[in-house]
Amino acid sequence: MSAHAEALGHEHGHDHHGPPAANRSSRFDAATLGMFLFIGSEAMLFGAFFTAYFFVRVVNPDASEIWPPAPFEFPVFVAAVNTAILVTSSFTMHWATQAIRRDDRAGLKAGLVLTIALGLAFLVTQAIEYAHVGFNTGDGAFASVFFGLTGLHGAHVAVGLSLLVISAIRAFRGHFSSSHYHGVELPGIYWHFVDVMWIVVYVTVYLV
Amino acid sequence: VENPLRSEASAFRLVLFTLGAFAVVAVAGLVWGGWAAFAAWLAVTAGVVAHYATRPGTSERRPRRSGAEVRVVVVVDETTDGDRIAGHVAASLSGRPARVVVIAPAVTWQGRPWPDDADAERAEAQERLEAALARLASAGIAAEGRVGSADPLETVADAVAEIAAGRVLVVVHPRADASWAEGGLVERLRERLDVPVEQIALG
Repeated sequence: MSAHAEALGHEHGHDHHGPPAANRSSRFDAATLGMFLFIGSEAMLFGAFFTAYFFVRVVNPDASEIWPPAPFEFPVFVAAVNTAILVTSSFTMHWATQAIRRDDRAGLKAGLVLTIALGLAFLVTQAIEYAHVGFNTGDGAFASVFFGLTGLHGAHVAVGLSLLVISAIRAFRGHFSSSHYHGVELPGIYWHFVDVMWIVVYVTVYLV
Repeated sequence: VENPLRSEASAFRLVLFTLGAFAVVAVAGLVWGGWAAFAAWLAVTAGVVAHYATRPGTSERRPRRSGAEVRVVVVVDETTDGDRIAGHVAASLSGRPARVVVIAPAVTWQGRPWPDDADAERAEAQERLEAALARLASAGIAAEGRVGSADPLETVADAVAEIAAGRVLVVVHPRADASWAEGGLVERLRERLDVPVEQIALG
């Protein structure tokens, strides 16, 4: 039996059943391109909310000189603690991914569990913050923008947590290795993106 | 242009960049007011964009192979045996010094509704990989190996980038119905990579 090389033609010679194969004209693989498009759409969604924020605070001729308008105050310190929690979770997420790249499954599991715990702590802290913030959406445009931006981000944290829980379940079932960790890497990219967005939200809404 | 979200590691670096950049914005805003914060935001955004725009992308960063060494990534399906793979790879190297990376995809059933424990498939792929490496070693070819996922596109792309491979060989049995072969792996590799991708049918 002899070995021979053949250049793969663009047409398959054998009978093909079912719908034709999808055309792939991009140099990106489908999963990566999908993640780019998803994050791009997310950035535009946040952009719309930031546009509303800047309109309320800067463009609006009736805007107060003080932000937020008196007598209301934002819980800057609580949000700073939440920022620290979320930034720390990016470090644990990075640790988890680096661990599985070294085939360290224990490190992967520990990193994912810690990241999930920190994400949950963020959401619980945000819920407590909402309960004690002292104003509601009906108290003015600033309040609507505050709850809109921070709530939108909280929803993204919840989505990220769902992805991480799925990754953690798969990690505990032994699905990942140093050559197979796409299911950890993509949620990790999303988690870091959510973290980046929070840093922007925190500095813009709470600090400046 | 470097994509800041190309991988988890690059996304993590973006978090650190953002943290540093917005610390500057916060300090400017707290000390000099909102417009200073806006100016600082413009400046750091321009700096970060310039940083990523001037860094080479993954394919541009890949070192070109030098000297007479041949660098090859070989993908083997579940139906081919190690002897034939070793024979063909040895013939294609023509006795030149080479660095060879063999990738054996772990073939899993794609139709199941929930991801199951894939350890059995990975163990089978590991056995197939070790057999192929042993045959290559007996043919005088030192090779390293990796187990890939059922769709080994990323594993192959990573290996090509890592060793600056000059070409990729995808070895299949002529009557193989490997899931990744049906999924057009070779076509997708050709679209993704800027090195020749050759399909080898052993009959």
